[in-house]
Amino acid sequence: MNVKKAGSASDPLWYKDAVIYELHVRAFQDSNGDGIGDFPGLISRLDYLQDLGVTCLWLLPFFPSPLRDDGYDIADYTSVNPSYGTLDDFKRFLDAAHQRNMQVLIELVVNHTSDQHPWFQRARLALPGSPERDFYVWSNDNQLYKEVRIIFSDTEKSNWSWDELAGAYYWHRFFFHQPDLNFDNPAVLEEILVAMRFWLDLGVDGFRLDAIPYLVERDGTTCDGLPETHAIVKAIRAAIDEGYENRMVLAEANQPPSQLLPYFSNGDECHMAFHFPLMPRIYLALRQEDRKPITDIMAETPAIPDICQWGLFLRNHDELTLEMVTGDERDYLQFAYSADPRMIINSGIRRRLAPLLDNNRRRIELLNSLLLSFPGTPILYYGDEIGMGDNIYLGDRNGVRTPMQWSPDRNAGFSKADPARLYFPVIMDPIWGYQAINVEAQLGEQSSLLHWTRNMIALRKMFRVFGRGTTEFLEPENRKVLAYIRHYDPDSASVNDTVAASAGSGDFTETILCCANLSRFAQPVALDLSRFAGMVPIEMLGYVPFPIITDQPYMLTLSPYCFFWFELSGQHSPTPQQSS
Amino acid sequence: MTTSTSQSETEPAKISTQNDAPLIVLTAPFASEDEVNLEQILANLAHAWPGQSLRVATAGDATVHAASTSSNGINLITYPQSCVSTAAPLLTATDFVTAADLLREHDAQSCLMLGADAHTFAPEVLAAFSNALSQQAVDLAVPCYYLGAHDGLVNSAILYPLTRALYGTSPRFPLATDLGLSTRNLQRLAVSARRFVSANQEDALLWPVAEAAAAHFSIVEVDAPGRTLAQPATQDLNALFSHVLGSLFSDIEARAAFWQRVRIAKPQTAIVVQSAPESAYDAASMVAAFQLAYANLQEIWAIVLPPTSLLGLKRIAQLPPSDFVMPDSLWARIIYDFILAFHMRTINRGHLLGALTPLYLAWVASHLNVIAQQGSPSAHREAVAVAFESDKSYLVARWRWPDRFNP
Amino acid sequence: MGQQIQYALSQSAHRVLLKVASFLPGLVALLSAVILLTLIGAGLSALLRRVLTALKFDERIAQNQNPALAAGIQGWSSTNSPTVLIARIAFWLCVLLGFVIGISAFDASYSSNAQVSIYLLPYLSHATGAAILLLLGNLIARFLARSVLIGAVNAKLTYSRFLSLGVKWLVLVLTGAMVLDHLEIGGTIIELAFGILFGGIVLTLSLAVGLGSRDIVSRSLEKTAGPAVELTPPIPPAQRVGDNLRHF
Repeated sequence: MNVKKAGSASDPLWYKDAVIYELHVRAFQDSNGDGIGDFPGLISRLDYLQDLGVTCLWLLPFFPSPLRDDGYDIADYTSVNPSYGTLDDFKRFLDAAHQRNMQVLIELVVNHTSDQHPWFQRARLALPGSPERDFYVWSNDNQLYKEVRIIFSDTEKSNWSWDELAGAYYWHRFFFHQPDLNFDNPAVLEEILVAMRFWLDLGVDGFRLDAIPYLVERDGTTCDGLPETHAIVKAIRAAIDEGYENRMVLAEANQPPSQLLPYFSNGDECHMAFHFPLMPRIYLALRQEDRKPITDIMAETPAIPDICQWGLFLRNHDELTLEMVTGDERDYLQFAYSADPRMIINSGIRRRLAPLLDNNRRRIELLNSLLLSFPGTPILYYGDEIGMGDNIYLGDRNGVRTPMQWSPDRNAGFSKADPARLYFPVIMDPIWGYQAINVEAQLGEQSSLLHWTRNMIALRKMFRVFGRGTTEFLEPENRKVLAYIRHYDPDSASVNDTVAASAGSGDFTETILCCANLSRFAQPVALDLSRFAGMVPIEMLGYVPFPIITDQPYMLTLSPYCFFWFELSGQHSPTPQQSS
Repeated sequence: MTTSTSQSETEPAKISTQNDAPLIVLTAPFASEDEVNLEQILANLAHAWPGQSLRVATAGDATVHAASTSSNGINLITYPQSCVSTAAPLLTATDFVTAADLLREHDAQSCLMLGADAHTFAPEVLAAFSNALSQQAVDLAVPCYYLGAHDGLVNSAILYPLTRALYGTSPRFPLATDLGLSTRNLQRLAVSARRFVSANQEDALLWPVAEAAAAHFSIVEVDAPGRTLAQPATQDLNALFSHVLGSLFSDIEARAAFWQRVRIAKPQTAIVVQSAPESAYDAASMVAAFQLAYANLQEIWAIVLPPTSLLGLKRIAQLPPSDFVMPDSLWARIIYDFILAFHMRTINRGHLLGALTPLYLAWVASHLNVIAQQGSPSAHREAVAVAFESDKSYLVARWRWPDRFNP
Repeated sequence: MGQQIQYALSQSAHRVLLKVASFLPGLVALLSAVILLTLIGAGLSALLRRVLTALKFDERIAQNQNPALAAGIQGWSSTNSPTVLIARIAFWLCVLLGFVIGISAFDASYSSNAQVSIYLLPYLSHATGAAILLLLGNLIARFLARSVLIGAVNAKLTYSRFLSLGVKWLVLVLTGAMVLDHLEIGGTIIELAFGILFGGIVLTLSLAVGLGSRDIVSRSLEKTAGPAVELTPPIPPAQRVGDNLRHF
């Protein structure tokens, strides 16, 4: 009989205050010298993550898999890939993370499996029409669902592939070796729920539902986000709510903002969803030195239920997807951020954060300041806290999945194995190489990006407004400056009440003014803060009081790529004595 | 005839109380079969300076021109013909050195340099030059040629708008083949010219308008209707284009400290000269050439141009020939980025200028389409110049902070 | 027998140690010469830089504005400053001198019968030459490839990229063959292989150029032959390329 272990979160809305850290077990730390990261190695690095300040770890797939899609082709839902350790190792890791008050989020890849999964092997041999066969989507020809777009357009020419053994075509939205499960068959959902409960019983705090818009297919549609798909997701959510507390479901749905709303439904579907359309527009706004791409997409972003949350990110394990921008914007971003055609894959850009920004420390800090202050839960990709580089010569999206760089020692301190055995080579050029960029060196340097990131995360965690507050964009005349107000009032029944009392005077209200200069040159800006007249902006990083706000436009001068976080205080704090 | 002064005087040129007629230097050599043209020039000069004794210097053997010496008070001087053969009939360093030497030798107060086919100058125009140099005592008199819609395209595309935006000068032909120069201006130009000559670069080009602007000399533009310009000897556009632009960009680089401080208060509106309408030109071949270049040179252009310009080029590369129009702002930005790449040696300079040629031809195709639709080539030229002026701040900003992470 | 074994071992050890002992001084001399001359070079470079800066050398050059010199510096060096260029040249000359002295000292420390120096020294110099050849060949290949690409595009040749790649690989193949020949590797096989490869590339390029340039050739023939010979029908003025346009 399974013993259900509780998750580590006590607050049902823990994900709103979380700072999520995305990592791949394979890439983080190798403990047994085989060149592949594993759970014992990850456990040994939990202190680092705790010190960094992140509160939730999102693990990329670690299930048994032929690894033809870096683990997203799952061959067994309820086990651990032997290369990464055993199930017991995973349990020890989970306990260790929970002891450090960190939640753990794992993948639940329900749209498809590996073609090596026993279900598919069974389905190939099963009779057409049988329940085993119907675990997947079969057709005698490849003409069904003709309007559906191909996601991996660089490698796949069709969403159908012929299986000789089965004597039929099978449907796959991704690689040909990842056949889609057929959710029209109730048995599929049952099996998925069994797998899900397996991990929940161990104490896992949440799931990232990979590729959930594509669960169900209907002819004559785009097969993206159909009502039947949402019914499946709701069923998954209902099963979680029924048996477990304080768990979270994060939807991966690369859709326009208005089409993301159904994934939240009335708060009974997914708790969180990635805000895909915002991310490329941040890069667009930065390069164009114009806030409009950001403010436009935020204006299009609908209000979501109070218990729901956006997931914000600058980069992740996939390419910087450009699906949610216009054709011109896509062209511009490719011109701007991918000088080498090798950097482009599936109309996205497969580079890490620091290389995208030309390793400019100010730009990196600016974008991270937006990530940490925008409305939503920030998700950091492993290695971006030290400004890791990438390797565009590795195939697929593997260039951003290289080993974590811990030290200038052999193999970047990731592994003691022979360098030729590493699952991917470490970055070793003079600018991005592990000798130049590594955790050990940055821990020893107080001015490093690592320390900066740690301090910023700590600052963010001190204020609930960032995860739970409202957002209002100001519109100064200078479009190179992005300015917005974050406000939080814990006494209000809902976010709307907080909006109505935008300059509330409760003891626990928080009002933050954020200002970011998107330009490479210094910029002046005049902000209309008249409704906050009488309040004192206190710069949060240095706790420096600025001149009191009046009815007149509030003038600020911003240095290149500068950002300010001001806490608007209702009390006038005395200026500290300065030594002469 | 109208004249316009583009620069206020800071120091007036020296005015002679004796013979005010300038020294006339005919820079193009005359062969024996060109006697008629030479006689025409001399007659026009005599008509322009009635009753005055003129000194006219011409290259070549004195005996060839012995028969051409007229009795109209013209003293014909010959000077050794330069062995420099230039691809285009432009004034070279050798010409300026020669003129300066002759000026000093004959103690003239000013100099009028006339290029090839000078016989097409009307006497009234020559008189206007005379007036500018002697009565108004300007340092530099530049002709304004009345060219056809399909002529002087490099000047319309690059030379005029760039010179006007950077130096705040108004002459529409900064690389004119004819110039009126005061003594001090010519001596100043000769100093630069001698450096080129001593470095065995006799065919190097000088930029008198920029030089005069930098020295705060007075500049005047003299209308020259009827003056026709000689065709370049070579049809190799690429070589000539690289030669002229290489010289211009080097000159801009040398004068960076000056033009970065010149602020244009508001875009200047110049007199629009109506030229005779010409037959429509089929730009399809030039558009096809640009599309070929776009397919092959994009990786080189991507090193030089920012994303906004690359996107603009991508858009126009998809246009049909009949609708092919390059926005003036895009063209200005392209030229500025190429100047920056030239300055920063982003790629080899020869390659850089070679990569600019197809973009220039694209502009030509666009220009021809625009004038076919709107009918006024000089109006489009002025619009291009305004675009250059409006975007000058971009050039200055990137020159001072050459970070390539820009829009 | 034990004594004989011991004797044989000690003799061979003695011979080897003797060889090492004769090898070491030369090696130490080589390293010392290189390190010493490098340090001298660094000092000389710094001194030159200070002196030339104090003399305002760059400003004087700029004032004289020798265009040929300026063009040479700007076109081919990575720096615009003559002072820095001279300092760098002085440094690397000293390093090179150090290598030359070191190799000469290495050679002098050997007796004429020593086997090692006969093979090592020439091979070292050949290897250095080969490395330089390889580097130069690469640079020239890239430069020529880009020159050909731009030139072909401006000549409106549709196969510009192919030409550019062909030229690049021609130069690289030639460089590779020269390097291997310099290192005396492969012998006639390399020469044969190079000949075949080079000839193949040239033939391919010739075919491509010949087949693709028919238009250009016919236009060129038209121009040279004049109106008496019309290989193609006359093109109406409105469609003639470049006739009516005057760029200058």
